[in-house]
Amino acid sequence: MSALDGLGIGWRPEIAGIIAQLDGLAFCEVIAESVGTTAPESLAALSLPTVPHGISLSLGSAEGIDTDRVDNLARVAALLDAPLVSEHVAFVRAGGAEAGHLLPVPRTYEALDVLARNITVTQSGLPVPLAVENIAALFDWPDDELSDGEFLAELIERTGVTLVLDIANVYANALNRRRDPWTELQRLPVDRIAYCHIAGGSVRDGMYHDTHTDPVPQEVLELLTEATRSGFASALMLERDGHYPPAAELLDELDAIADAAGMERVTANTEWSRL
Amino acid sequence: MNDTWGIPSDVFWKLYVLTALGLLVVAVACRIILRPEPEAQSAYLLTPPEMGMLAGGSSRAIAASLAVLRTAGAITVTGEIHGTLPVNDPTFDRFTRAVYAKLVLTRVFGARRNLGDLLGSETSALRQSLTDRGYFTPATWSRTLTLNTVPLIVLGMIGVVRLAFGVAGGKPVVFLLVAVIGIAIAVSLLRVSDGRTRAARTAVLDSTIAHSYLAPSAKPAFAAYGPRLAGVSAALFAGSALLMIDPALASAAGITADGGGAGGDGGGEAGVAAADVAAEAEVAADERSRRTRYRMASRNRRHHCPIGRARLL
Repeated sequence: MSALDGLGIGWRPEIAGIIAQLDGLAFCEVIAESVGTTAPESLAALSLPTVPHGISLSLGSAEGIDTDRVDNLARVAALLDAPLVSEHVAFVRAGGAEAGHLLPVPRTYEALDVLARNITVTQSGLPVPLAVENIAALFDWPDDELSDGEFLAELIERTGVTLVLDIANVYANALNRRRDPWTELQRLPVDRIAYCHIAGGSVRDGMYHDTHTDPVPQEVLELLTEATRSGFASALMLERDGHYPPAAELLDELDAIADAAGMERVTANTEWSRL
Repeated sequence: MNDTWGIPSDVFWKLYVLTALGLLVVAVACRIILRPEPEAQSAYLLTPPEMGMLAGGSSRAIAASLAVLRTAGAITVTGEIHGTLPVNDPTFDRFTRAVYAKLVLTRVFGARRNLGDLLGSETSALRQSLTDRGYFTPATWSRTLTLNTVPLIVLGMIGVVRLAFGVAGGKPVVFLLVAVIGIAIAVSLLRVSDGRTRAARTAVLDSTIAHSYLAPSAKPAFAAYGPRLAGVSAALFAGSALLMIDPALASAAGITADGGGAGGDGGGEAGVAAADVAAEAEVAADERSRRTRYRMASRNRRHHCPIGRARLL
């Protein structure tokens, strides 16, 4: 199913020196919009499969896809010799306004039509397969007709895309909807996963926010452990997008993820591990 | 007749140039042969201020130490110094401890002082330590360089005298004049030395390549890399690295993007961290942050109007 396997990490220039010391890292993901005309030197030096991860395509936009953005995604994929590219099941612009955030699309058949049309256009402009990611939503649209699982399964069925399963987002949505994360996870089309994200978040004002700047909560790791115990196996990566902790904490987090997923640790030989 | 001292001008300048070229070859050969190149240790064993000293002199060494101290949380931009440094913590090398001790002793954070001047003996000791380990040429080297050029200088003086006689006698002197100027340039070049050995230049180059991820253009997360690498960044990538680590500290310490200030190298002012400057910087940063949050919130209110229809979870 997937070209990826093992433990990966979201490559960010801010922590490139730490990532460079990880032994046995299986793959990286890089924010597609951050890649210029040449691949970052320290990313290229890793010689790892690298997935460009788009954040601004706005697959859920009713007004259609900006083909220049698709072209850029294709360019980055070619530049990095990527096995696939990924984007979010979300919209970030509408009516000429940029939200600056990933916003959830209504889980309706109408929205599915829009998404399927945009994804098909995107796929036709890409040299590699496309995978789409479930996002964390702080609200539901009142006209939702489908559950998360039904919505994603239908989208995959119509377009042939694979899924970037963000386990932390499953947890976030379940928590905010007062549902059981494990039950919610099982309802997703887990047989069509390209790879998984795991990231940190925090609770503010009674809502769980998928911040990517906090540690991965123990509950998310337990969800991963539970999934692993039930036979779930997929390439998996840590996403951290800011407020970087001391390297030792970051490495501990990677170890905890590897342990929860039953994978080999990749942190043994860094200069921080030896301290 | 074109003779001066009984020697025709064209014969003299040809002989003169040949002699000059011969002496130049000998001087270059002596410089290469006599240059001290003791075996240096691995560059990895160099501390951040040592690397800073090799890369940019004492001001860079001090910037590296300040970066270590700031990233370790040992000093703040508001002038507070946190207690004492842990005795056996290898994060703090001897020079960095000296910088810290000087900050504690003089309370320079509250009263601009020239940190470079204050640390004169410590930077000398640091340089001597690096000299002993083969990264700097010893003091005798500059004397050797001077002695090495004495034959050329003597030849140049003979040329000048001959020029004077030639001009006085109305003889052609253009070729000789060119030769004398050439000797003067050669002497200047032969005496140039930044004091670093080949080992030092190699260490800086290798370390710069190995630590390219610490360049400010990579926006390195110093909190993740830790104090030592923050210090290495300041050492290798000049003041712009310290500006990233703590703009207020760099500003207050008079450290510029090219690493100037803070040190005695250029004799520039090296005041360190007036609390008021730091406090102003923090206030300004807070204000910028507040305005940014306000703009984002306003924009979100405008652009997220569909959310008004949504059912909040």
